[in-house]
Amino acid sequence: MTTILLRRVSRRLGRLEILRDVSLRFPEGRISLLLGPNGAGKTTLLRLAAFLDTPSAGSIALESAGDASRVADAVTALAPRRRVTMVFQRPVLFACSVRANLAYPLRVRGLPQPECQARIAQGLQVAALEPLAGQDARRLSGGEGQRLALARAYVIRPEVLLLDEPSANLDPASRERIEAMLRDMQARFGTTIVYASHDLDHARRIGQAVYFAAKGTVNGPYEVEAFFESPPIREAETYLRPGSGFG
Amino acid sequence: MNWFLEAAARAAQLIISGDPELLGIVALSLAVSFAATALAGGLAVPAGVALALVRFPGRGAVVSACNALMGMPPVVVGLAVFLLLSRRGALGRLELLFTPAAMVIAQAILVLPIVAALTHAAVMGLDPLLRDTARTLGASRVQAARLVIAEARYGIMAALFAGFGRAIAEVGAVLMVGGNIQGLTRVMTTTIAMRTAMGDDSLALALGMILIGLALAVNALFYRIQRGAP
Repeated sequence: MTTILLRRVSRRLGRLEILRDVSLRFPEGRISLLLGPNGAGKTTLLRLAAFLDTPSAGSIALESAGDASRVADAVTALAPRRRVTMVFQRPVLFACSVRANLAYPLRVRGLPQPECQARIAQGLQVAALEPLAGQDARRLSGGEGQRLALARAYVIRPEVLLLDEPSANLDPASRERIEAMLRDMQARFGTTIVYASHDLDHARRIGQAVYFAAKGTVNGPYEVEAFFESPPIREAETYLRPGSGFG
Repeated sequence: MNWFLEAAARAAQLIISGDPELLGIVALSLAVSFAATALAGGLAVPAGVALALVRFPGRGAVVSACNALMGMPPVVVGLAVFLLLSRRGALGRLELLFTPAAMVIAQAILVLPIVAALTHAAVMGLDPLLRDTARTLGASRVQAARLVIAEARYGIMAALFAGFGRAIAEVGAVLMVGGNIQGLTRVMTTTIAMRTAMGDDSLALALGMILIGLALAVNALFYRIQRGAP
């Protein structure tokens, strides 16, 4: 199993410091929650971990248990980026069929055709999108679209999956389906999942560890129930119980 | 209305008769404009995509320049190409002046900024997260750029239509560098201008109708091909 390791990572945009000296190592094969108020740097952290952006300082690496040689530090390199994937809050679907959307990540990797077909069939099935396979992806509903975005990550069988509030504004059925897909990925592929969310009930149900981002720093891991029962830091208290600061 | 009907009748008659000179003029018009659009598109589509995707100092200035140059006066381009290709010009030794090749070059220069600017606009209109999505799905730089082109295909096709329209309708540049030589560099627009100057209004109008019909037919054909494409 693989995880993402951040060593003293900072990210600055101009004079604005979005992340400051963050070091952490998400637990392998677990679903880690990334909680925190808007503007705390959650998306920035996920984009860095997905090797989309380069940290202003520090390093980000993939670390596989018992396989230190596979550690990669090169942010621009394609190889580590292909072991990790990210699903955005708003799914970006390609202007082609649902099936072709699922085929894309397999095609860019040059996987053999029978393998592609098998994975596409599996992706359609776990996302409950089989009846829509031939439909134009941009005509899907919000929930269907987010399921497709997650299925597109599923077919990759990623070692690390980063989710940026994928369940925001979803119908209950799609939310449940997404939850089932995450558990499935964890069980079948041993995927390490980092899940940023404001949907606290849902997060609490599926999370197995909590990281809390506030003001450019990230603290954790905390045990899930303990974190929700008695928030360990003041910012977390304010975040979980808005208004408690005035009481 | 009489003169209009007369011209329409004459246009029909010309088409039906299959006059070889007319066919030659039409064929050359299409060939020169196709070649110019293909040449310009080959350069301007990648350039327009790069302008939208790659950050470099002076990018805004280049985009502004392309937008401004969309309205370049054909006679100015014709003059520039004329001077370049004339005996004492930098490319004079190629002896291209008053050949169809010179007309292709002049039209390609006119078409280039149109295709580049409209391609740039088409790519800028895509979802800003599109390229990041491709990258998270494992696309290399080149693969991501190819996806961007595929996603912007309708806009890029429209850019090429606009470029072709500019080329086929243009008269000043091809007249200057082609010379309207019968059987060699005479195209629809230069024939229309010449016939009008000669006072043969109805033939000029008939040719104009054929030209518009051709432009419509070519665009309809492209549109069908584009719709049919996966």
